[in-house]
Amino acid sequence: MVSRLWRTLTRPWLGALLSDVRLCRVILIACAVLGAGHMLGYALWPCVFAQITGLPCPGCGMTRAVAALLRGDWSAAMHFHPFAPVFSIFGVLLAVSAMAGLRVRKALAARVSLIEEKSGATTLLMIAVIIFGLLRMGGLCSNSALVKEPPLIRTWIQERMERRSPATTQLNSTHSL
Amino acid sequence: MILGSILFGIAFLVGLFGVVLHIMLLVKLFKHGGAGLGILGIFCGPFTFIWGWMKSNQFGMKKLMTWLTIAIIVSAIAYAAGAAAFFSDPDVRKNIKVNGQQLDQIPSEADTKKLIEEAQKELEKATKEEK
Repeated sequence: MVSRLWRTLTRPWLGALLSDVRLCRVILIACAVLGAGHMLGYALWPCVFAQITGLPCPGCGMTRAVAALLRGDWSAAMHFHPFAPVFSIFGVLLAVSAMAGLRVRKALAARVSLIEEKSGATTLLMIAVIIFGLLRMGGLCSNSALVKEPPLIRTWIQERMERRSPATTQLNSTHSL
Repeated sequence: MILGSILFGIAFLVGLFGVVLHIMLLVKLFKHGGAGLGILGIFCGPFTFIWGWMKSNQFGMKKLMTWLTIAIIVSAIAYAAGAAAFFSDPDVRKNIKVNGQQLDQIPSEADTKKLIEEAQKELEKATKEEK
């Protein structure tokens, strides 16, 4: 029973992911698009969980953390998501797998699968991320206030009102004349 | 206002349907991809969506993925249209403007610090003058 559970848990998923070149390429393109959106200030795929509950999901802050890592700001990255360096390594592995030749890809996937099977590290890491997410939701982590009241709509309305108010004042003045 | 509320309601219901479909997709991800990939899919929505489409032929999920995509698109459009209808209402705009002005009157954190510092300086001056 225990060995079966362990086998289910340690089923290599990263190795299987790395061996699928099409999936790796599409994920990389999606990451690039979402990253570009983040740089321009748009959340192209907002977190549904955070939108509904107002609480950060276990993955919330990852984009900001990776962006901070790319800028070289480690403390900000750690503040946004402490697992960002690990996921960045996963990203590098995906990029290598998407761009490397068949031999390199197969060797990489086989090696990663072997490590996963022996240690179950990747699944344990995912469980750790979930535990961290739960602790953060409970306010037990320093960065629990990652999701605030969405100010985007409010600022957008304010900007529009400010833009319109001089025009309306001008209109009023012409009417009075 | 009424149209906006109706559109928001539609967006919510379609979104709820989308969430149910997403959970069904997550179950498939756990089943075929393993526990690790399933957990990754829980907190990384885009990955689950991409995985679903990439494996739709292999695991026979084309119908599920089509409905999920339709639900996401319809929900987004209804939400945007609802927001547009809601904010085009003159009463809502008036309220927002009043609330915005009230918000502007609240000093920011930096302004509050400055005000406190100024008050402290004035207090010190007053005590010196008294002495």
